[in-house]
Parts: sequence; structure tokens; C-alpha cells
Amino acid sequence: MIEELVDKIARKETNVVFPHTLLRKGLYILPTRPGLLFILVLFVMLAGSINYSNNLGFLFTFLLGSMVFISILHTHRNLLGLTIRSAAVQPVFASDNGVLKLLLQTEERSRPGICFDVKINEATIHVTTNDNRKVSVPLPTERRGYYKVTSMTVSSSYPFGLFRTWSTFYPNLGYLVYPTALGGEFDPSASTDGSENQGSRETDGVDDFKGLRPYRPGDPMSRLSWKSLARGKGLHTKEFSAHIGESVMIAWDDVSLRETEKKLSRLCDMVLKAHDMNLSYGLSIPGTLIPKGEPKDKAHRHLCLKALALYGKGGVRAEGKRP
Amino acid sequence: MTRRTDPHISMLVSALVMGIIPHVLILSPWINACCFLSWIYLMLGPKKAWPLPPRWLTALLTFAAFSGIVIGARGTFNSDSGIGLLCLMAALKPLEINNHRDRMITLFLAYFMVIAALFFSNSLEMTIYLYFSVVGITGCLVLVNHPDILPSKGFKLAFTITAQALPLSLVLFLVFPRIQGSLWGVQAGSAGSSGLSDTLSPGSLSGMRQSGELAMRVSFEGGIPGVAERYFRAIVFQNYDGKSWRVSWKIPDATTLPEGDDPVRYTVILEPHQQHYLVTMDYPGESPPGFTLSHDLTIRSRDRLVKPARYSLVSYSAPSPSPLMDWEEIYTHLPTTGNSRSRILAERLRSQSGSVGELSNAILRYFRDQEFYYTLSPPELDENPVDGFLFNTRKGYCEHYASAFVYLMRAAGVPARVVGGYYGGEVNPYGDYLMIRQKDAHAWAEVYMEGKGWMRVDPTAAVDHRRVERDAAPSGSSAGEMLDGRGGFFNGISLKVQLAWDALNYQWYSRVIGYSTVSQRKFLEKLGLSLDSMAGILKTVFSSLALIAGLMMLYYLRLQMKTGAGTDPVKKGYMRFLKKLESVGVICPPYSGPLDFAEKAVAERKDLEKEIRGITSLYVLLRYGGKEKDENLVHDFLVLVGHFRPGKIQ
Repeated sequence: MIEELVDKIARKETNVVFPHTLLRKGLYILPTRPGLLFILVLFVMLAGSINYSNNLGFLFTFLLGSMVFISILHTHRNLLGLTIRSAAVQPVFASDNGVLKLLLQTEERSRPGICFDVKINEATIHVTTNDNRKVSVPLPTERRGYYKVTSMTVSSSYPFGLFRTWSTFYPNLGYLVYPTALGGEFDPSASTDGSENQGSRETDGVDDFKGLRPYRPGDPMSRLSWKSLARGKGLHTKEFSAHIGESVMIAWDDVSLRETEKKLSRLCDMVLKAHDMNLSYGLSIPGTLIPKGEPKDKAHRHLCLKALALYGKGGVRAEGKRP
Repeated sequence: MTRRTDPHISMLVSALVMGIIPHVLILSPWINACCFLSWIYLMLGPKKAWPLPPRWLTALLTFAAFSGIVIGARGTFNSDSGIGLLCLMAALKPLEINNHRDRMITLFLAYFMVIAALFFSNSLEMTIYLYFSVVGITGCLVLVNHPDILPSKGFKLAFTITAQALPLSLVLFLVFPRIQGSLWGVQAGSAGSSGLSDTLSPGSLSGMRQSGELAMRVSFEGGIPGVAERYFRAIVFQNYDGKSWRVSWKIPDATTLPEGDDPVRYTVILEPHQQHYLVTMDYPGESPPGFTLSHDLTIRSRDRLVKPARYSLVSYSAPSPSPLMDWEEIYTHLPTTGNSRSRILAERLRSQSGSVGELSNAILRYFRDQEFYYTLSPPELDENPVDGFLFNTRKGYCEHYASAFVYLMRAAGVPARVVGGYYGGEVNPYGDYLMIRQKDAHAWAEVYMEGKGWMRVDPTAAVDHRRVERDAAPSGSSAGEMLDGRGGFFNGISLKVQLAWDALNYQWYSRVIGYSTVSQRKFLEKLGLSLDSMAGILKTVFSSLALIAGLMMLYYLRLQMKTGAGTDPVKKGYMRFLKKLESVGVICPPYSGPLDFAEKAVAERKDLEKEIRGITSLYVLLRYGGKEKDENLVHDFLVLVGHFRPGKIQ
């Protein structure tokens, strides 16, 4: 609790960008609870030595005391100069495993027992590691939305656990959790907006056989034309076309579910399917309208999923710089 | 809910075992058994899938154990029961370890057991053992906190940190103020006993203690006195009840101190003997602070001696001749009945001699001429022990002769007393001091002579040496003589090793264990510091703080060097350059190379462009340009770095 107080009083290192090196200022050290208890034990030993005028008692009490004192240097040194080179996090779907990947850098000497406390919204995730190169922090992903890393605390109580050194900083870091996709029917024709369907281009689809074209590396095996290969005509790929609605507007009212979260999950599923079907799709939900984008555009997909993730959470907030 | 054995249990139990080893011999067997059973159970538990005892059982065990201590102590809670309590806690605590805090407390218990051992033994070998057990427990502390690191690394680190802490703790040891006396009462334990006691009953217990245990060590300012002069007085027995000699506690303090032109200055380290007296050579002219010199020139203390005492004294070979005080008629008291034949002998000898001196010589002649034997295992004596000894058995050791002599003197109306102490001892050739063992315990007599005062008479010496039993010779031979001839080659070697080890122990006792307020003052005076004035005290405090801070700085710099450049002057120089830039806010990120950084630094400090680029290009040349061995270039580089002053705006 004193440590939290120190963090409150200390000048905050906000908007820390990586690489971030732990320098002497901003790296604090205080005894842990067992450390305080041990100091108390030492005082009892000292009192005993004084009472019995026992010189060996003095000698060993001072030995233990000096060891505690010197361990402060060791503990402090265990973090001093440690560099966090980067912190990377990818958007995830709710309930999937999300990780914050931290890359560390240190000199030849190893730094055992480093703890990371990553505070995300109000939850704190604790990771202890002896790995001086990379650390994976598991992230909370139970609900959709935007998660901000409010603070990161690097700490260590190596070697004795009697003192803890720590540094708290506030990186500009956050991640999106998309809604979980809820499987179901997706009939693009049902929601195809007729007026926008005029002059549609043909896109690669799965439904109608269109013809053969020469094989290009990367084409899926399932679409190889084995017949033409057997006839000795070389390797060809079967082409299909999506015969219905090349573009689609995914709208709020397309889903008849009442529960908002379920509805969002369905919409999420539809966005994913539309993306997989190489449709040009857009999203229209209350408060947000995303016009149709290019098919296969991942950034566009992210925009749609983000809108779903943030629905009803105070609008699309600045996501922060993506690392 | 079944609780599981803690995963760190083997580390914790090892630490506790290291802590308990010094106590095993003093602990009651049942406490040892408790520890053993509990720890074995815990160590085997995970393998055999034994469950931990439920909470109510642990609580019951704890209650039973504590009751056991209370019953065992029989109402007197002393340090022995304290240790018992500590060890029982060590036995029971591991049964209820739930979290990290419990583990830490268990380890602190182990440390506490180590420190507690120091209150029972402070021999050099015990200290060495305890030092290594501190290292071991610290290793366990590291591994319990960081289970993932290699055990060898954990113990190595513990060893390093302990070694690093040693100089610091020595400084603290030397300068930490010592006070005389204690904060609260000191309860005596049971450890240690001696060849001397405050009652002397010749004939009641057959056989004398023949222990080679050390009683005291004495070093002299002049040379070591000859064997014949090595009488060390401890107790004077005044009262005889027909069987035993006892010490009277009603003796007043000394009024006239001995003086003379042959003072002997010496320092004694007395092993704890659980009695109320100090041992001195002959007649001391003073008593150490905290002790009183009583009228019979023995030194008494209020408390029993439970730890080694170290004191320096001046002694004289004879007390000053002072007239006999009224109360000193107790020195002629005898029981009114018993030992009638001895009384008749005394009367006969008195009538034949003209003076006290002649009477004394007559008795000694009687011991020599009659068939008296010196033996350490004399027959027991019954009803009238003096008669029995003088006329029947005629076999005995110093106590018998001294007792019989004093009895005869008193029966003849001459004030006389029995003195208990040590005689002889052996010289340690490696340390130039005298080692006196429990087997050197001796008893002799003192007789009051008009005009001369109290004179020493050693009746045992009167026995014809042909009638001294082999192996029972009063010691007094120096160890050096023993080294020369007697005994085989290996005996000689082992004796040499023993003597050298004792010499080391002597230094240990006189310098470390005996370090006191007085020695602290002397030590500080040698350094030019005093504790007599406020200014002196302040000076001492600040110098010691400065010394400690200096040690820490030195140590910290060493750590820094390890993390940083090491010993390469070029890299060190570059580091200094980076430090200088850092001090003005230009920070070099660890990922950036020297050239990248130079660009960045120049961008921030246009005014320093020339210096930054110059130093950087020299550095690159020296490190990567194949010019590593060019001494002139290295010199230029270091000079450039030295003159680099980014703080000044140019």
C-alpha cells in the first residue's frame, strides 16, 4: 500500500513509448512484508545480544543485517537498465486467448525473477518470468470492447524476497476485443440493397462454375481441375462466380435476435462470412454507418468489427497508436 | 478439504536442520524426536501421498508440545526451555504452511535458531559452522523465493552475498557501542560445569574429576612464571562441619590491599563455570569493574558466571601483613566433637613446636615420614573423615591433605583456611600463554602467622614423591616438554595440532568474544578517536558512518562495473561520455549504435557537434576500425572524453 502511495506521489511517466529503459529515477525500492518482519527479528536479536553482552550475537546480527542491506543493491540492480524493447498486442475475439508480447533487452548478465503487473481497465494481470528476452502477458478478453493498459509495473524481489524494487509507467497501449462470432445463417441476398447492386462487378465466388484458368501458386487444392490434369492439359484451377449480390450491406435489423450482445455476435459472424466470401460489404448499426469497402480488405474488416466491439460503449474512441 | 504438503518443503526442512544441529545435544530427547518425526513425515509426505494433519490435530499437537515444555521446565523458565520452545515451533510450523509468508517465517525461525546457538557456545569451530549454516539457510531463502533458478546458483549467490556482508558487519561489530550490564535479568542455563565447587568434602565422593576441559587461559605481561609459583586462587573455605568445608558468604570486603615490589600483570579468560567467583593468581590488588574483592582476597560476583569472562589484574605473591580482625576467629572454629585422635595429634605437635612455622613444618614432616600416598581414587571415609585419613587409609589427593592440615592447625588453635583453585597448567608454545584445565584443580592451605599475615602452605607437596601414584602426578609440566620426548610421533603431531588450535581459540576468545567496552575504547584510541566528549562521540559516529558508506560505494561501483564496461578503458571512456551526455538530458537508448546516437545527439545539441562527432568517430575507429592496440589513439580518446563538458553552453 505504501508502494501505491509512492506511485501516486511520484511524477508519472505517462505516454511511455517503447523501447523503454528502467532508469534510476522512477525505480523505487522498499521492504516487503516479510522483509519488515525480518528487520524486526534482527532488532530482537540485537536486543538479545545487548542484554547478554554476547559478542557473537552482535557479530551474527550484524552479518544478517549487512546481508539484508547488500541485498538491496542486488535487488535494485536486477531491474536497473532493463529495457522493454516493444509491446505488441493484436485484436482478439472475446473469450479467445489474447496475449501482450513484450520483448526485453538486457546485457549478458541474467535477471531472474522479474514480475510484470499489467493493469488493464481495473484488472491486474501478474506474470513472473526468468526469461530475459520475451514475455507473454495473458490478457482478459471476456467481453467485447476496448481495453486500455492503464499502467505497467515491472518489479523484482530477487534475491531474498525481503525487498521489492519496482517501476510503474503508463504506456499508450490498448487493444480491441471483438464480439464472439455466433454462427448462423447468412443469406447475402436477403439483405442485398438493390439500388446499390446495380452495375455490380463479378467477383470470385463459390456458387457457379465459370470456367478454367491456368493454375497460379496459392490456389486452393480443392479447386484444382483434376479432370483437365488427367486429360493432359496441364494444371488448371476451376473458377466460380458468386451469382447473387456481389455487395452487401449488413444491417442492424437483419438480425432478429433481441439481446444486443447476441445480435452483435451474429453481426460479427456475418461480417466474417462476408469477408470470407469476398463480398464488398458495409455495416450499418445505430450510430455508425460504414460504407461498403473493397473485398478482402482486412483494414475494412477491422473497421467493421471495431464498430461492433465498441457499440454502445461511448462511440468509437481513439484506439491509440497501434504498436 | 485435504491440505497438500508445501512444494518448497525440502528447502525449508533443510534450513531447519541446519538450524537445529547445534542444539541437538542440549535439547530434551522428546523435542528432538518431535522435530525428527515431523520433518520425516513432511519429507516423505508428497511421495507416499500422506495427507497433512488436519488443523485441529496441529492445534492439539501445539498445545501438547507447549505443555510439555512447561512441565519439563518445572516452573523455572530459563534459556534451555526457550531453545526447546523455539525448536518445537520449528517442528510444528512446517505442518501448517499455506503461503509464502509462512515459508518466510519458517526460514526466519531457522535464522533465529542459529543466533540462539551463539548463546550456548562461542567456540571458534561452532562459529565457523554457524557461518556456513547462515550461508545455507540464505541459499534456501533464495530458492524458496525463486524456485526456478538452479539450486547451485542460489547457494553460490548466498555465499557471495554473505562474503560481501562480512566486512560491513565487522565494521559494525567494532564500532557499535557496548554497554555494561544487561537490559533484563539473565537466567543461567545448564551448559558447562567445573572442577571447583563451593563445598569441599574430602572422602565423601571417591575419585576426582579428571577432565581435560579447559578452565581458563592466562597470558602474562612479563614472562610466564615458573611452575612452583603458579597458584591460582578461586575460593576460600571458612566453615567446617565435620564432613564438608563450606564458603561463608558473610566475609566483608577487603580493607587492606596487598602491595609489594613484585607485581604480576596478567589477563585471564575464564570459561563459564556457573559459580560466583573469579580465579586470580595469588593475591589480587584490585577487582575488575562489577566485582567485589572480599577480605580473603578472592573476587566474588553477584551473578553466576554463565559466559566467558575476560579480565586483567595485578597480583602480588603475598598479602600485606595486617592484624587479625575480631571476626577472623572463625578461622579457628571446629565442630566441638569428632576426630578425637586428630585433636590429640594436634595437641602433641603443638607442644613440641615453638612457633606456628614450626608447627606447620611438623605436620608436613608427618605427611612425608608416615606412609601417606597420593592417589586420585582414594577409599571412602566415614564418620570421622580426618581421623580416618590420618590414621587409617592415608590415601588421598590435595583436598584430603589440605583439609587434614587445616583441621590440625585449627585444633592447635592456629587460624587456618582451605583454599580452592588451580595449580600448574601448561604453556601453549604457539600462543605464549598458560592453559589451565579442570584437572589442574587444586586445594591447599593458608595459615595466619603473627607479623607476616596469611601464608600459603601446600601440604600435598609434602608427600614423598615415591608414594605418588603414576598418572596422578599433579600437573605442572609444560606442554613444550611433552612435545620433546614422551609419546609417539603421531601423538606429537596431534598434540601440536591441538595446541595450535587452542592458540587460535585463544586469539578468538581474547579478540572477538572478549571484545568489551574497554577494548572498544582502546581500539578507537588507536585510531585517534575517543568517546570522552560529545565531540569525540560525534567524530566516532561520523567516521564509522563514512566508513560504512565508503564500503557501500565501493561495492556499488564494483557492481556497476560488472554490469557495464568491465575493464576495457575504451569502452569505459565511451560510457563516461554517455553518462556526461545523459546528465544534460541526451539519453542514449540501448538499442542505438554509436553512430546513430551521435546523429541524434547532434540534432539535440548543435553546439556540441564537433566534440560529439570527434569522440564518436575515434571510438568507432578504436573499437571497430582495427586500431584497438594503438595506445596513442586510446590516450587521445580518453583525453577528449575527459575534457568533454556538455554542461557548459558554448
